[in-house]
Amino acid sequence: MKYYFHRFLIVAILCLLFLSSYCQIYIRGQITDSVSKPVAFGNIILKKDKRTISYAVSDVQGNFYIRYSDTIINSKLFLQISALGYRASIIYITDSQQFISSILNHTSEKLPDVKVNSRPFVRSNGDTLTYNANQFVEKQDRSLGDILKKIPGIDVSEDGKISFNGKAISNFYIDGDNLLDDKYNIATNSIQSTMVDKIQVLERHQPIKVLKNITRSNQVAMNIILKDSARLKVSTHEEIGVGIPDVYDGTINMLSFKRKYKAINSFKMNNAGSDLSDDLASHNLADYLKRIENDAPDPLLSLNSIGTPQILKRRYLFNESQMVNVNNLVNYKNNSQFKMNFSYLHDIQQRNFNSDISYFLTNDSVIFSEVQRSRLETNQVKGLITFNRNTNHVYINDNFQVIIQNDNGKSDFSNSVITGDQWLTQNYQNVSNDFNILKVLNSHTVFEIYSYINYFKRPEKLFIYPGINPDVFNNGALYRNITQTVGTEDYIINNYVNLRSMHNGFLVNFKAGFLDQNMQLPSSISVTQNDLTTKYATDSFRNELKARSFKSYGQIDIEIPARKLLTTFSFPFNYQTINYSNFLHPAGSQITRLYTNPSVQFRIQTPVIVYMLRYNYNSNNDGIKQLYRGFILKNFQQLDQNLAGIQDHFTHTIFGSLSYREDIKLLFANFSFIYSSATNTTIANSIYFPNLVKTSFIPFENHTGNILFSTGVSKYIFSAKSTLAVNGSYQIGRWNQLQQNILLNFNNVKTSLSLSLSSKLFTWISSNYTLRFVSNRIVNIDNSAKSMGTGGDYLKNQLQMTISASDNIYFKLAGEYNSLLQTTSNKINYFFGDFSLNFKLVNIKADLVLSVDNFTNETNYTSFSITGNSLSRSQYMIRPRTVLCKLIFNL
Amino acid sequence: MVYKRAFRIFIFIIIANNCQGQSKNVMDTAVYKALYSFEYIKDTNKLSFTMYQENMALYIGKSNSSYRSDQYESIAVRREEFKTALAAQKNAGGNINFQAPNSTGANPSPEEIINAGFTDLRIRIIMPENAIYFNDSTTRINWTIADDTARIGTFLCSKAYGVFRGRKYTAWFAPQIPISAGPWKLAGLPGLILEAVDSSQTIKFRFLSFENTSFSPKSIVNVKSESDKQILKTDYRKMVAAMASDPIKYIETLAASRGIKMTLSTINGLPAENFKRAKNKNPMEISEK
Repeated sequence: MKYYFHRFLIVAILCLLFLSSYCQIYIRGQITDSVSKPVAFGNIILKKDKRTISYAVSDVQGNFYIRYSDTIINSKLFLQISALGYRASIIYITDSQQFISSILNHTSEKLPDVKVNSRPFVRSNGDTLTYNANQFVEKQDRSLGDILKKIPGIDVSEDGKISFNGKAISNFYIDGDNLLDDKYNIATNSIQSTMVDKIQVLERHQPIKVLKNITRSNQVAMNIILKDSARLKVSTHEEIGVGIPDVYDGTINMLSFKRKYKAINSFKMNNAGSDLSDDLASHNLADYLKRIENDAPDPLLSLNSIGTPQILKRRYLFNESQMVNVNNLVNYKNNSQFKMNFSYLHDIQQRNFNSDISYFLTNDSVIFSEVQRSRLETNQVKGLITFNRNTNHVYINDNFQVIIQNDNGKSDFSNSVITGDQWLTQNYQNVSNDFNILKVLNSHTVFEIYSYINYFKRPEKLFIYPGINPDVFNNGALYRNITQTVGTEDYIINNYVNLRSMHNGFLVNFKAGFLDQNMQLPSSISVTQNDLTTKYATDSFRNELKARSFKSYGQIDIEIPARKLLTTFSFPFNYQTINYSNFLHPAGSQITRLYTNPSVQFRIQTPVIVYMLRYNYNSNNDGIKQLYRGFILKNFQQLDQNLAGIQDHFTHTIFGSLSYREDIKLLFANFSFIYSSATNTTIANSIYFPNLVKTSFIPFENHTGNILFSTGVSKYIFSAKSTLAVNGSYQIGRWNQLQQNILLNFNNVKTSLSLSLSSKLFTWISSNYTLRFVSNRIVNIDNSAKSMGTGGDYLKNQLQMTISASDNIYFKLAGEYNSLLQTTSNKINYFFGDFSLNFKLVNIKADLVLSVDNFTNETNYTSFSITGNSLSRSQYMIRPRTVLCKLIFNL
Repeated sequence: MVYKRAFRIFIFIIIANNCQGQSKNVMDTAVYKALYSFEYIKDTNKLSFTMYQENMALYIGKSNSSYRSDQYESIAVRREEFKTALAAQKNAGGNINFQAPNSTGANPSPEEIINAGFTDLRIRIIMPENAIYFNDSTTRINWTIADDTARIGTFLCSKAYGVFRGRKYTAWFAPQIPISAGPWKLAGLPGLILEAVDSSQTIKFRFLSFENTSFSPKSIVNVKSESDKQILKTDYRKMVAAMASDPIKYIETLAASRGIKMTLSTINGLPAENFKRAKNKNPMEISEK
């Protein structure tokens, strides 16, 4: 009973509150003109300070009636009364019940004619988002890349990869033409900021016309619309720079953006730390190779195994590079296109560094120390010829590509045991052809044939003098030198047919094909004694691997739309037969496997928000490239072999994402998580010798897990003329590792946060601030006391200011502050400062730039990296203070 | 395409012929003209989002406003052409050979929305021979005015939220223009609505310009016409639905009822079902309220 009473009381109180809050009072009145004629359709706004409390419109007799809540205190209330053709008046309210008589005076003043002239920052047209480049460009911006960095929603990473709202772009167009495929860095560097009119982001982009009404695309592409002046004629752009100590930097670009003929041709050379191979970086290569299932072996040998420092490349790269890069596209009638991309790169890179790698083993720890000075010379020729025809009835595309590359490297090294020299030679020849045809069968059905063929060989040789680790390679006797040779040869064919059919939004896709891969991997280690006799090291250092994998595969996809929800079921499966033989097993063995990789995906999309949730189960193996049983000396400290045969992985993955965009507010946000749990049939076992690690893959079932949350928000703040971007991620990983035959379990927690703010404070000053924080912690679960909290924090602060002194002079000041904190050592801080002065020489239409890089003259940089229970500290030599004087002009 | 246009206009002949009632005219002289860009994603279930765009004019008089396509006058030109073609066909008994005057771009919308006395909505549809209209059930929008302000053109605007027929709109209105009107059926704020966007961002009215029109020929909110015929809103909907479900049969049947024997064929040989209009998956009005 008491309970009910309580309940009643609460309800009663709520009712009273509700009623009281809805008590309303009103103001009545009449508007007339100076001759007492009522004024109809006048607007009456009840205001308090600047807030609008309530409003009304007068009726035909000029009467009005404004209601408002009695919680508003009457003081400072006023009525703003206005009507078409009358002068507006303001009447203060003293008493809520009073009758307001307002007399308005006629006015012959007209409202102003207004036309919205300033073009908006961004315009959304369904799937196309068009940014007006003029609103973001500033005087000091030289290239398209400089503009892109400032646009809200668009992110450009340090290697030049462009993403929109967290998703990497799939295609890059210049005035609708795909000149460069995914190698668009040359465009973002070469297209002048003054040439760009608009930047378009194409969501749900489908480049193939026959598929436009038959598939749903989830890709994002970018289209750069140029100004008419940039399209009219072929233009050139030149940069010549010289400086101290002994640096030069030169560029000649020829650009054509006519409707029928597009070209970006350039010649570049420098020794100033700018890596020309970045212009050739293929941003979607990994996705492409995965899609065509070309699981080609990577180079096996190298001079050293240390990573690169986390600072800008131009600070630590000692280079001498020349490059010719030619990209030409011709449009023919009938939507046909012919394209030629050719490049030649000659590159010498030198590196001086010392490093200590500590391995914390169960009973003791091993430290590998080394000092190296290395020089790597690369000659690379790449040629790609593309024919494309893209009409509403048929799509034909053929890419023929040749790559020839030659690397020669030399380094001198010393560690705690030995001082020596090593030479590395790698030759690489690769020919591939990718053919694709899609034909419309009827208005609902499209048939596709795809054929890919690839052949490559890569002979590699590593020569080390004097002989290292005699205990391992020469029965303990000292010897003169050791040579590792590898000759990988690989041949892949992938063919499939595909039938897509769509009825009332339901899409069915059938795919069937086969993939045949043939690989040969002969390798041997030979040892030269001090009396110059040469013999092979023992049989365990030799391979005569011949392997063939034949995979027949099929796939069924079904897409079911239901209002805003799109459900996709996908069921790929393959039957794989692997035959392989090796030096010690010439008879060979055969393995057959059936793999299924089902997935289900839900997607809800509106123009504002897209939700996605996907589950997939994936079973696969690492392919035949890992099947070598004999040891291979990868570098002077690392020996690898595989005793496990085929390496299988079975993975469950759950992926969810949300992306939100509000075009008018220029607000973009995304969130995603990915959880994966994998069972692996093999594991790497590492055995440590003085200055040598032997790693063998052995059969051992183990589990790895990973969960990653990441989020990003980007917003343009109109009042401050600034773009603010915040990104964050949090990752937990767990995995096993075998060391000295002991199983170790690790947990890794990685947090990263970055913030960037680019603002145009006044017309004469603009600034760009970036903050990046990364924290990495690794815990050995079995031995938590020992490696508890092994890890490090890294903080980077970067500020760049551009100040215009006059119309023709501006200067740039940039500072970069890096801070590294290692749990086992002291904090290390670095400050890099750069300065540049830019003169516009109006008479000769040129720019003169005087720049001083690294004026604080830091000479070396230390970085840390942690993997499992190893910790490496590397110290690199970096470029000293450089003064460069550059003349930029257009002929 | 030509066929499609002809058919659209033809259907209105039939509606007009069937409707009954007397005309009640609204006449006013426009003082101002506001121009809007109307942007509408009609189908959000499609493979990709494509947008419909039309420049719409709002003519503002002392006590009425009229909202219609900025190309509205071109419909009258086409109507004359169609009348001539029809007369010629009646005389000769041959085929109607009607060519739409503008071969590029979409048809201007034949609908005009009149906000009479800034309280009652009347929808008038222009037709080849006359015009029909119906009174739309008026729903006053209960706007909530927020404190946000923004400058659109030179006008200082206030922000307001309101629900109209199932959609939540965010509107920016200019108290400086003391007219309680706005684009389409959105109105009722103490000032002209210059921009409005619905919460799904599939419907947008964007402000383009505002001008004095007193001396221009476009100064009439609505022409007084004795031939305007009133129909019921429900009848209008039924007719549009019937037309959409099987347009060819609909035209043939109704043409027959007027004594015209008609067989329709398509120009490029596309099957007739291609002309069935899909049901609008993202209608502007979701509910009656």
